[in-house]
Amino acid sequence: MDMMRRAVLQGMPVVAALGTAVARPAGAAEPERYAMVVFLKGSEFFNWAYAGFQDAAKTVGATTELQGPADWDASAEARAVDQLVAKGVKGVAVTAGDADTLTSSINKGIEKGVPILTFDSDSPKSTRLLFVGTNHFNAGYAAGLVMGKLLGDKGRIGISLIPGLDSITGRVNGFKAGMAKVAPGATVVATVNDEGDLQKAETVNTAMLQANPEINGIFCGHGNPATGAAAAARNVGRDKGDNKVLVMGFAIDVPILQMVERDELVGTVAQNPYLEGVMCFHLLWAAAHKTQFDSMTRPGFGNVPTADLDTGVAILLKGSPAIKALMTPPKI
Amino acid sequence: MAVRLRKALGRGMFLQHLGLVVLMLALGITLQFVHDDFFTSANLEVLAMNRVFEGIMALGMTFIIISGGIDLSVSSVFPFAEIIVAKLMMQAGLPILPAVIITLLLCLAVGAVNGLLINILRVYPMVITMGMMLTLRGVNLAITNGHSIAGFSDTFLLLGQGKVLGVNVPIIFFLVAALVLGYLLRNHRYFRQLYFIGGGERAARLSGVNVAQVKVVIYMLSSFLAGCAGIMGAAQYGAAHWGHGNMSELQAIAAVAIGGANINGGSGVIGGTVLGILFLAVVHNAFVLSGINTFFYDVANGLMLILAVLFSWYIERKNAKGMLAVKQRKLEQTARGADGKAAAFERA
Repeated sequence: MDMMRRAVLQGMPVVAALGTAVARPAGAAEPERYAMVVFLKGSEFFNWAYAGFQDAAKTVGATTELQGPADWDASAEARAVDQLVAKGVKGVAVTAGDADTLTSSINKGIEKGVPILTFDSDSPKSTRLLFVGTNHFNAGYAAGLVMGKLLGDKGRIGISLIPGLDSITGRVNGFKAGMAKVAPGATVVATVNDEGDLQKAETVNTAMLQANPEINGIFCGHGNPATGAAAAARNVGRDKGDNKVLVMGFAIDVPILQMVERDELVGTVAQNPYLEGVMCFHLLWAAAHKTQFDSMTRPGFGNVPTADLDTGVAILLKGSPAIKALMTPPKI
Repeated sequence: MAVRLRKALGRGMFLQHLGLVVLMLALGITLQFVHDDFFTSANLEVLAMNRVFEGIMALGMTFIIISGGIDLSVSSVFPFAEIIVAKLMMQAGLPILPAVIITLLLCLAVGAVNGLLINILRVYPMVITMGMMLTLRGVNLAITNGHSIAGFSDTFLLLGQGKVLGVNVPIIFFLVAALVLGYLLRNHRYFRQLYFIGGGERAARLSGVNVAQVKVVIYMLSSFLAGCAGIMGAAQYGAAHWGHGNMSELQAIAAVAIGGANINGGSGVIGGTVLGILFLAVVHNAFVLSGINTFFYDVANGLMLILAVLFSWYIERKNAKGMLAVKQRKLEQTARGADGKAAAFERA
């Protein structure tokens, strides 16, 4: 025990000395640090967003970090925001795995003067500066226009979705409006709940096609069901020929893009996560750097818009140049 | 005092605890020098709050692991408690106290079911509690349809966001629970039985320990603590969501193992668990402050758990050899007789 005590007492100054050795020299200016917090670290979508965030930061010599759980746990996200605020980052961009769970952490951060905005998934009841992301109604509208033009008034659509999510409800409403604009005779015949699961999507879409043989198009309300919907068309023998069911996806994952190129999907709704990341950074930068006039609506912060920023979507069809670019994972 | 502590814990566990304290201090001091912001009140508060709910679950897990069992269902009981208390208050309109009491009673029932099934079916606790974890996860999703529940009263939010003398309520709960449970585990005859059960269930049963009853009680305790954590979690986050507390059972188990408990049962102390969860919190905080990719935090977590288990195994083997040597000496003494001379048959 005496030996142990001696070792500890002798070791502490060594550790302290090591710490001093690697500590930054007095007077050295550290680059500003900004953070992005996601609810599913490692997902390709958020990797794209972080790539944009990181690239934008480099243009002004700032540094960035990506935090958040690897499993969908909004409470871990909230804790990550708390940690970053305590750490003193210059700004935080967060996508809310659950809108309500993030509210308290975002509000506390804003109260402490740290600019915080949301992207991709909003926390509207919080005091975040603004939301950057896809306007879901507009995204669905763009998809509806394309499907309406492809199928015309003979369009009979099935929709695969997760019920109850505001984002998906917005997309579906937009889809119906877009389709009605160019093909007023087209209708939505059935809607199925895929529960966000690939295998479930195949099962329920197959059942939908069997129960409603007049369906000639499927719109996927979110990223997961496209593979399952394409498999469903195959299951009922309607993946090619005159009776082919046209499936519109809602993702930019590499397998989905490959399916578009192989004609298994007619197209996919591509959000722009890279642009989301770029705009998040620039807006946080603006909020963190006051100019001669303070923000009228958010005193204490630099000037940023109060309205949500729609980063838009592109409908990628076979041969779209963007497909090739998206096939290469982003460097982060 | 150090000598008394060492005697109480056993040399191996004492070394492990000392090692944890030294490592934490070393990390903290290094971070303070490099980043200048470890020992700030803001950082220490988030450090403590970052793992407080896992810490509360780890207290119950300590009892289970000492007895030779495991409870994977805590990570689903946590959001279950959040959701039930939220529904009772927001949808059934109950006041806070009855809602909390009913929620805790339901959590106790979950623990009782775990304990009874383990006793009746005589299946590994991991299987039963995994089944309960999956079942409750489904229940949580089904009764909320994937949505969160929010809009709690300010009074309820105090359970998670309130402070007493500047200390967060969940941290106070954790410390008080650790003190009480630590005292009970060390001094109360009923809970001392856990060490017998963990050391050898059959021998414990033959010695008159009501193993079945004790198991039910400790699984109820584990679920009760997870329920308490869930209620405070809902208050802390201002929302109840099925996804909260994901993988928290692994953090709780890691804290107990890193704190020196034998994962096969038979040893462990609450103080070790407290050190274990504190260590996990400090390491996570170190990753965040340093800006290192937090994916490596899971690598560090896993490695620490493996090291802790290896160290436990080494200590167990050393103790077993020591016990064998003691038994051998006693046999030789018996053979020689009280006067030190060889026994009659040996003399012959």
